[in-house]
Amino acid sequence: MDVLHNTVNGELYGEKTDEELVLETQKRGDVYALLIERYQKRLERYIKRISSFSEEDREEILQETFIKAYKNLNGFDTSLKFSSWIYRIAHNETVSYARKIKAIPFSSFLTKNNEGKEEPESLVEKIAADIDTEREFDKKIIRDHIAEALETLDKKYRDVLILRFLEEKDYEEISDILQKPIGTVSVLIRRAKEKFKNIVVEKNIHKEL
Amino acid sequence: MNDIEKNIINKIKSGEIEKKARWLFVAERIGRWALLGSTVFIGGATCGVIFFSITDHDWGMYDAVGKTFFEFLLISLPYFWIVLLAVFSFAIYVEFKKTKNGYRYMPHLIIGGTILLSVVLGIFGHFLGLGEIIHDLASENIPYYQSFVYNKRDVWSSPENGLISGKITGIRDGELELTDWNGGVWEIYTSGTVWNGLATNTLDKKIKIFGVKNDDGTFSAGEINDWKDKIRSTKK
Repeated sequence: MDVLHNTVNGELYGEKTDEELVLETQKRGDVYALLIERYQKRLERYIKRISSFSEEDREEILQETFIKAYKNLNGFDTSLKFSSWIYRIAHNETVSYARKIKAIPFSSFLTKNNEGKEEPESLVEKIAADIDTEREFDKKIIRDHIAEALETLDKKYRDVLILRFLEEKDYEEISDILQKPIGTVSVLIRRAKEKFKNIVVEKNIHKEL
Repeated sequence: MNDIEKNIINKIKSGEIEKKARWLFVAERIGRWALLGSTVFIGGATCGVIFFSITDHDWGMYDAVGKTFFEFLLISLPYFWIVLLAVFSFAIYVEFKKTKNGYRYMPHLIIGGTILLSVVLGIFGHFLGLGEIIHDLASENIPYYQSFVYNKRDVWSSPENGLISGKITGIRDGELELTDWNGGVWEIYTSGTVWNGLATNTLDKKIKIFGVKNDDGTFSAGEINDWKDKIRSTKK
């Protein structure tokens, strides 16, 4: 098996879609390595974004996600995108893990840069750009405050913001991942942006410009 | 290949983790829909009993029991079945949400659809007589059921107000024996009595009587109606 070259026992799988790989994996288990390869980094990042767990905990969640997905592969609904399905499992595993260890899965939005200094992720900039404000924010100055504002949002709003602006999922995918109707997803995103905007105004972040 | 990947693939190869068989998912899906279907059916049957309770009631009798129509309406609504319908509608909503695509539908659509389906099935069940059968079964088998509901039996179980009902269990010249819904046996004088509608002096016939309770515990019938005939206005 050479995952780097997308081959398993000499057969080339690189061109295949996720859904085709699922079908192949249903026939031979080792093809699953390619799906792990495709999603490991993305899911690692996603779990990190929706939780504040240690690296060890996150690895455990990730491993459980892949194991659970493998066990349930025969039940994969082909009308769904594989990515939505595995994101859903990762999301549910993170929530379950938080329940198990009685922790609150919140995201920090702050990641350490190369110098070990915390800095907000691009969500802040993406949301700021998406919000219809009369004034043009100086993002460089207010990034920290916006990240702080995001921290105060309810989990349900943060979840949709992360999926929409960081994972860049469309409404249908978010609906499939969070298992909520599309109408609810769109209301959550609209409210999340409104709440975010209110927090920014309440905290006088816009006056710091 | 990194650690997580290696670890999982090794577990797959060694058989430590295995895919759940496809038939398990199919069975789960069938089981879920069967449960959902049964709950929808029960919800429909419950709705059928509600229709029966409403259409079977003698709504014109409010005056005879000393109530205003509004008071009579309030005590007569089939709350027991309405609560059951609410419980089943909620159960259907929860079960539907668990189906493959159930989460895609808005709650008000699912609940509205559930109630609509129950009403349609209820109307169907009512016309097939299912509502009445369930109502009678509940009356006979559910302990304290009668104390939860106020229906036609309660209205016509008031000898002091000149209202009595039950089944004819004996026929003699000029009188009949009536066993009421609580098992009490009454001697009913029928000379000069008016027999309305479908009411006949036949054994096992269910009837309801306007009359007067005598001091010796007997009852003089003024008017006898078939149990199912509608009384549109109060007559004593």
